Amino acid sequence: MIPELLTGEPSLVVERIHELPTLPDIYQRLSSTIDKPFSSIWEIERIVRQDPVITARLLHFVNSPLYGLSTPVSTVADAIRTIGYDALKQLILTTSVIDMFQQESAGTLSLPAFWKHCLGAAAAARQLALWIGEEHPEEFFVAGLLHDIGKLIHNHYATDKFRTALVLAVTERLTLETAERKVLGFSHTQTGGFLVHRWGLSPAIQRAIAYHHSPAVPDILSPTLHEHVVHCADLISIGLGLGVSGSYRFPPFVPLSWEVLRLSSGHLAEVLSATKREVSQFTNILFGDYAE
Amino acid sequence: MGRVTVSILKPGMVLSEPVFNGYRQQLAEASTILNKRIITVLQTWGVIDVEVQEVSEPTLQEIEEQMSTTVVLQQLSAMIDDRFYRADQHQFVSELRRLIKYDALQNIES
Repeated sequence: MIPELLTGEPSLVVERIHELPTLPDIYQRLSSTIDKPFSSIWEIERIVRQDPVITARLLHFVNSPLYGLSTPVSTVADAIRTIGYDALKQLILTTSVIDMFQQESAGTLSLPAFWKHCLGAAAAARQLALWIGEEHPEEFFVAGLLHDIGKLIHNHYATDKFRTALVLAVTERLTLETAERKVLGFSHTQTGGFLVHRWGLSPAIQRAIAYHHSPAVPDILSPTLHEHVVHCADLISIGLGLGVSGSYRFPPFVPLSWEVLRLSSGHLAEVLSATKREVSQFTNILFGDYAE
Repeated sequence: MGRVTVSILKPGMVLSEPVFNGYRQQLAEASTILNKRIITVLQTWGVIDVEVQEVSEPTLQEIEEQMSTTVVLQQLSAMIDDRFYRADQHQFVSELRRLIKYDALQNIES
């Protein structure tokens, strides 16, 4: 039985969890193969084809309205060529994480409502990234999807305390982050940041998850905009009523993000419209039943 | 308003330039007042963006006044307000709330 986590800094908490989920083997093999200097598409295709569920998801993804292809793609190699290695890695990462927690049964958190909120943030983050001209919008999608992953850890490994925090957020009309700090001593942003650090995800994604409620000024050590994008995307998902975030009050907005991202009202209208459209498309791709 | 993508077109907007399909056939002339049918035609032909005239969008107060006219709209407005409980007054948050309420109002009216 996993002992209840009572106190401690998030790093100690996370290190104490011996059964902390690790990323599946297929993602690790795929990631290391893609990162090799001279990997071939056939090596990558061979890895993907070993998992029929991932193969089906990949083909569904590439043939979805997101890519708007006039001719359907029917082979894994063509699918990989169409979406590229980065998007392939992010697709397998996101589906692996979702599958990892699909069997979650303990705790108070409603998984469908949780993932809908995260998917809303992911779609909004991707749209914001496209608007500001980022080269890798898929990475922002991943950051948005995983931004609240710490809540799943709290829900599973600190069930009673997390339930207390959720109730406290409602009764005292707080953000969940504030309630978690009162009850657990730390919040889901810290736990999530440590978890993805342990998974070896990029520093930009780590920062986006750890600081999505308190994004800082970009500087030479952390020049990326991921945390600002996810900060705004989180609020967009809440405003649109996509799923449940667990906070009773609307989270505080950090004005710096508006200045850093240089958004305008016109941009925001387009982002909202595209986010709503893509949430349903991504729901089919990521949560569809591909089991044989 | 300038050039906007077809995805955010709404009935009532006015084209400031004619729109053509890929075969150089005119789909709509300048000064056309858009309705749902015309917007659908543009989307079907794969038009990406069009030039529209300046449109003064309603303020949040004007939208909320319209949403106070029926019980359904009042409940919808209240539901959206619940999501924004104790929200900051920053331009981003205010505009987010305005756009969401405006979209909800238009969806009900259509």
